[in-house]
Amino acid sequence: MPNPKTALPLPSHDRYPFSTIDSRPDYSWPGGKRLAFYVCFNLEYFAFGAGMGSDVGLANPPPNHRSYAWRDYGNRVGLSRMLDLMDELGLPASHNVNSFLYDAHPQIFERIRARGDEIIGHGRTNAERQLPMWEADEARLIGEATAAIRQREGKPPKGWLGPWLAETYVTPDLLKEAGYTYLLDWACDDQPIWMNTRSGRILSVPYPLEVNDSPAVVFRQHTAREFADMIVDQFEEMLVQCERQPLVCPIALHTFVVGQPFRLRPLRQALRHCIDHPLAAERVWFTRPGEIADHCYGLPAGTLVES
Amino acid sequence: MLQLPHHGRYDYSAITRRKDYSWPQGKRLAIYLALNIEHFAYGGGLGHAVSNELPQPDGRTFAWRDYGNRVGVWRLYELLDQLKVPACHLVNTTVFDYCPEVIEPIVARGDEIIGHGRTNAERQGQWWEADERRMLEEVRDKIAGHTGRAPRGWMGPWMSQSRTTADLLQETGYGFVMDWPCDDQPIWLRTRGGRLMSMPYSLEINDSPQILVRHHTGEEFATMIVHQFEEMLRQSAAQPLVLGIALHTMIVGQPYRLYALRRALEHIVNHPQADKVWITRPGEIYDHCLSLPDGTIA
Repeated sequence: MPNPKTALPLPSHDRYPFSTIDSRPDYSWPGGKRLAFYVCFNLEYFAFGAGMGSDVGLANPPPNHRSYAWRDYGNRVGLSRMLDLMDELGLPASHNVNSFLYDAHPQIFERIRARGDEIIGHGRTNAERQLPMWEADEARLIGEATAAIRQREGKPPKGWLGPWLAETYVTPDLLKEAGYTYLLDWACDDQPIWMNTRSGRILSVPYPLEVNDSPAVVFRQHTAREFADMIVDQFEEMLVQCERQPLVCPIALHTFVVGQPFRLRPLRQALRHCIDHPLAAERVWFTRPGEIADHCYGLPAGTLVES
Repeated sequence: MLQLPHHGRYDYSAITRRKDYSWPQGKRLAIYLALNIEHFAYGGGLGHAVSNELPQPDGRTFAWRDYGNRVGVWRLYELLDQLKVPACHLVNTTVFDYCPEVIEPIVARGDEIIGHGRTNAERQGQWWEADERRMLEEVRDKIAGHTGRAPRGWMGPWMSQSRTTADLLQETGYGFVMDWPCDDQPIWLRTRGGRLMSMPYSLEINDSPQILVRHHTGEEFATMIVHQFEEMLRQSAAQPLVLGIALHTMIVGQPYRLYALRRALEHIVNHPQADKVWITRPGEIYDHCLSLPDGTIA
């Protein structure tokens, strides 16, 4: 539908109003910090011989066991290595979780739970996406994924990232109606923003489509060293930018991508660089997206631009 | 020995080397008419098309399909009544909500409803097993809730099936499936929970592939029906056979195609050897097969 607020003839989502980053009320993160830095793992489960999935090289015809096994490495090896790294660096983490993992590999959640990390709804499996689904089916998919987390973790997830970030026209409405307080699907800002839904507002927390090993390394075929440089450059630039606005610097990782030893090494150096930065103690809040959302919900009305 | 992947559902058997039997009253050729009554999404999903599809929302194509439910199906009911022939109806369950009027004549005529998914805007072949099972149950329960009778037969939208469709159909209470155009007689399929009957359903004597995909005219399609009938009438002296005629409301419901279809169906109904023909419904063929001694159906 054309947007009645802008009178422009183009269709618009009408989920949020336009505003420039430098025109908004100022606020800070807890303790007066200015840059909220979070690391988000993607824990994904795939179908053998069917459905969608990333390939490290050219895809073979089904069953394409080669790519399946490459992805399976992430759950078997990569994740443990990455959790070791987070422990070593003392970094909190969050995890976008395909809910089928709770039945397939329930043991992977023990360490995550012990760390006190956040679980974020991430569909049932990345072998599918919400995009072609009818509304009732999508609502059921979100409901199933949410129920699995609630059942296994004792509390429902606050946040959602759709498999392949493939939203339908009604996804934010369905997420709000399923009890989510924030979503990560909209990479349109460096600050959390309010979004309209038919059932009230929901928070959009920044999530990277660029500083993300899947698009950068798998699809754009950057090296791990280049990816590590992207993290450092993103961090350094935002560390300066955050003097004027409180910002979010998210890093998205996949167990089958940076969980490979040769990629883990430059990643360690990049994260170490961020943590050991002379300005980190003063400016950087190493956190999780759920805590960023909680902080925003606690700010005085009007601090974030109203939707 | 050549070890190609195999579905494992049935073994090879030649039509000429099976036990003989007959349809009720010694008839040899069972004919059924299968009317596909389908509902589609506006602006998305799969669907039949009579011409090039436009970018979505393709209102032109949606409306052409919608004609089938608004006009075509009523013309076809009228033709069935005029010819005094029974029929079965492959009904998407969204039809029950979208245009419930369309169901009334089916119930009044005592015709059979075959499970045909929720909508032909989707197909089940690539779904996960739990989702497919839920859809089969949803369709079964919807039909039972509206008509008081659960469907015994199934044909998937687009005849699409996953590797486990036959198993799931047997487990959710269906008795026969019409997705396998591999024979002119009913045959038994193996499933993990027991046997499921495969009812012949034509991918050839079917207006959708012939007219929409292969671009034949209504007259050509009518001639195919007549020739199929005449040849099978001759063949059925040696084996009891099933001739299914598959129709879609938005295709043969168009007047100029209906005109040709009427000629073909009148040819069958008024045929001098009509006494050898059992014009029936798949459910009645299924019942008859169940009444035969074990081992009669391959």
